[in-house]
Order: sequence, then structure tokens, then C-alpha cells
Amino acid sequence: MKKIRYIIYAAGLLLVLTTAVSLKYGESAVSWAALGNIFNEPDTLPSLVILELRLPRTIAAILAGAALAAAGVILQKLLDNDLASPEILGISGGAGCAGLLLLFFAPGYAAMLNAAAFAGAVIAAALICLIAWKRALSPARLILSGVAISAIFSACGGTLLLFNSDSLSRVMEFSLGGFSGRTMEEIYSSLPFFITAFILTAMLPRKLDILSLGGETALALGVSPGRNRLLAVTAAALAAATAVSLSGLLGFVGLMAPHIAGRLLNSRRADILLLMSVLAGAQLTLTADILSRILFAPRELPCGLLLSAAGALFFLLLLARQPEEV
Amino acid sequence: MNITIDDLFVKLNSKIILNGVSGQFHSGKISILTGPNGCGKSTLLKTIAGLLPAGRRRIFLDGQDISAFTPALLAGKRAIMLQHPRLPALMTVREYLSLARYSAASGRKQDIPAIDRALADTGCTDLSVRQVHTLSGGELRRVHLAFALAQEPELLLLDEPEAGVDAAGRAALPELLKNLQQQRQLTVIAVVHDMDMALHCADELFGMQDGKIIWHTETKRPDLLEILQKFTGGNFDFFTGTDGSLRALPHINRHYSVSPNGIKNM
Repeated sequence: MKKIRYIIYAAGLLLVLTTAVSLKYGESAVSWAALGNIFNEPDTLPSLVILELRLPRTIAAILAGAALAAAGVILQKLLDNDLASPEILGISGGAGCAGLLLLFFAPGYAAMLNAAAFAGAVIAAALICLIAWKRALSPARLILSGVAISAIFSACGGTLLLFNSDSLSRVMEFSLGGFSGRTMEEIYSSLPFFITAFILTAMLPRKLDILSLGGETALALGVSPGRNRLLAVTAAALAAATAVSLSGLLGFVGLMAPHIAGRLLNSRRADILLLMSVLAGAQLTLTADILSRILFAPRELPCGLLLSAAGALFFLLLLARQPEEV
Repeated sequence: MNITIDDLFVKLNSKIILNGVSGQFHSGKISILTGPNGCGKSTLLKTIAGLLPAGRRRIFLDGQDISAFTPALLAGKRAIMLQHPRLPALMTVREYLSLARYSAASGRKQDIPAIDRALADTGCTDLSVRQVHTLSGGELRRVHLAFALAQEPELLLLDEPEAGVDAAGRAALPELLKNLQQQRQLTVIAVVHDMDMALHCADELFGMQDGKIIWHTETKRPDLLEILQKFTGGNFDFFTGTDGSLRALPHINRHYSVSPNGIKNM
């Protein structure tokens, strides 16, 4: 237990340091002195760069990474499947499709992309739950309806894209995911949803551990499987949808962060796993965002591209270390 | 806790499993359900536990209709040890048992003493820091019993507590159950396949067949042997053990054939 506490403290400290680095470095690095001075002299150029450009994207990266990681843990525990990620709830399919609909039918309102993505993700998740619901929202039904609905939304999105090649570059940017150009206003408007998702998630840890013992045991312990699975799915969908509305379709964070956390802690207890995954998720996206800014400066890489590359590498590494089984 | 069952029907996947069960299980007794595979014993146990819908006015716990209890309220009163509980991923025995305390009536402050007591009563104290998935079959069975006890129930429901337990563990089981019953003032209902084990554990025996309870008896009755012979017809050989107790072994039929429909007597 003590060791686990130190690991979590260390991860927290690393995240704080990375945040400072994220504010300092970018296309042009500012000095540490200027970084310390942003509130005393908010009108100087370095302060403006930090407050207007780097602070919003840093906060967005932390929030989105944390939320995607939390959604990943919730779904992996709930579905008892290490490969579950927010995509299974149709988050990317729904968000992508809604974003494309907006760009196709109302290109003048492209600024509403965040809101459209959020709405699309929530609608897809709700549809999946509606179809999967039968007494107790069983994991097997959830996975099947998730795969089906996600596929339908992705197909719709692909079709829309075919007829709307004008907005291709904007769509590409959205579907690769990244934090360039985020503003504080966007963060403020997403905050209520993040907070709601956080409160719902905070209610979950013990329930998730109990639900992972199966519906019968959960009911025997006084946890109604149907109602509580719905609560968990709602928390995950809300967290992931809000994240996607800020970041675009960032893949792999929701899948990778819980694995990293589980390996570090060598435990699957939902409370510490959630905490550690949230830290790992924020760390991953923020690091990827920093790298995306400085690797090929002044050109910027999409952050999602780096995360996918890192994710692929990570899972190949896991594969190499997997003990042999028949 | 007195359990009364009144003409209970349960359908699973549109197949009738319990076909009009009636009976009384008495407070402070160890009641054992026996009967052939598929006769509805486990289903009856789960229905008494409130895990399957019973319908209104069919099962009463101390006179109160079970359908009026919320899951949380029920979890403070009864615990069930299932036949094949799903194991938690990467969790120590103590962490696993702490989950059983979720709805416990005695509250969070009693969590640690209740878990310690459950571990001690089942001989699992030494296992408390082990990972659950590394335990052997017999150890796991004891941990599952401790899991049920950590809930601090009034009513303890056990589905085949003897399954997968080695000879020494089986030999200790009747005494273990009786001690638990007395120290914790439990009412116990258990499904037991092994008639010999059932005879040694039970205060009252119940025989099920085709979704009904068709006979029951107290094990103290002087005419127990006659009753058993009448109702378990030819399935068991009964004899008196060296300690004077009534023992039972499955009757081995040397003339049988296996047909596509199952095992048939010739």
C-alpha cells in the first residue's frame, strides 16, 4: 500500500513538472523568469503566448487525457475486457459523424464543431445503451450493440466525407486529434460536463469492483447490476464525449492509460486504478502535445498521431513480454 | 430467521425450473437440500437469496414478503456462497472480502473486525495477503465462505460447500458449519449433493425432485433410516459407521448402459 502511495505521488509530481514544461516550450521557448512573471506582467509578449496559447492547450490536454483514461478504466472494468476503450461506446463514431454533418450542412457554423461532436458522442452512447438494455445491461449485449452502432456511425461519417471533400483538412485535423488552437472559452464551456463526469466517476470505484464479480454476486451484495452499470456507462460516455469535443478523436489514451496504471500498481482495485490511470492519461496526452509542438517546429504534428505511434509501440512491447501460453 | 415458501414457481428462459415449491426452513437450524442434478436446488437457493424474481407473496423472511426488500436491505440480512463465483482480477483476499461489506448492516466501522473474524472462522487468516487468483481450489472454497461470512448475515445460503474440497476439508465441514451456526446464531440452508455429508451437517433434510420439495425430515428422528430408504429409493446404500452414526454411499449400479438420452438402468 505504501509503495502504491509513492507511485501515485511520483506520477502527480511528474505531471506538475510536465505542465511547467508545456507552458515554457513550444514554437519559441520562454525563459523560466518570464514564466514566473506571467501574472505580474500579463501584457508582455511571452506572457501573452503563455496565457493565450499554451495555457488553454495545456489544460485541454490534461483534462481530455484524464477523462479518456477514466472512461477507459470504467469500461475495461465494467466489460471485464482489457481491450475495451471509449470507442466501444460509439464515442468516436458518433462524434465524427456529427462533426461531419455539421461541416456538410452548416459549414458556416464550423465553430460549433465541439458542441456537435459532444452531441454526436452522447447520442451514439445513448443509442447503444438503449439497444443493449434488457433487464441488466449485460456486458456481452453492450459490446455487441457497441460494435454495431459504432460501425453504422462510422459508415455514415465516411459517406458524408465522400460528398464533402471541401472540408477535408478540417475533418482530418479533427479525426487525428490535437489541441492546437484551443481557447479558454472552449475549456470553460466544457467544464460543467467534466465536473459532472468527475462526480459520477467518484461514485463508482467500489461498485465497479463489485460488478466485476458478476451480476449475481453484485446483486447479492446489494448492488443492482442494471442501475449501476447504467451509471458507469453514463460516467464513461460523458467523460469521453467531453474529452473528444475538446481534443478531436484521440485514440489509444483510453486503452493505454489503464494498462500502464495496472502494470505500475500491479493491482486492479478500481479506486487506485482510476486515480493512477487519470494521472497516466493526462501525462500521456500532455507529453504528446508538447512533442507535437517542438519535434518539427515550426510545423506542428497532430498530437493524436504521436499517441497512436506510442500506443502501437506500447502494445508491441506488451506482446513481447507476454508469457508464452498455448 | 424463519423462511416460509408458498407455492413458488420460477421460470428461466421460458423453462419451468421450480414447479410449486412449498416448505418451511426454521430459524437457527441447518437445513440441507438434496436431490438429483437439475431438480431445481440451486434455483431454489438463489430465489430465496433474492437473486431471481420470486413473484409476490411466495417467499417470506420472518413473515415479511421478500419482494418488498431492496437489494441493499437484503444484503444486510443474508449471504450466499455460489457454486462458481467469478473471481476478482488482481486482488488480495482481504481486498476481496472488503467488497462483501458494501451493504453490511453493521456499517463501515465494523469492516476490519468483521473481515478478521470471517478469516479466522474459516481458517483463512494466513491467506489474507495472498492474491485470490493464486489460491488452490480448496483454499478458494474457504475464502468464498469467508466472503459470505464477512457480510455478517442472519441467513447463510450455501451452494455445494463440499465441492472441490479435499478429504480433510470435507471431514471438517460438518463441525465447521455447526460451529458457525452456533457462534453466529445463523440460519443455514445448503445444497449438498453428497448424502453422507448432508446427514452429518443437517438438522433438517429436504428432498427435491422435478422442481418440488417432495420430502423432508429432521435428522434426529429415530425412524430416519426408514424415511430415507423410502424416499431416496435405491440411490444410496445406508449403513452404520464405526462411531454409530448413519452413513450413506451412492449405490453403485453394475448394470447400466449409456444411451444418447443419458445413463439408464438396465
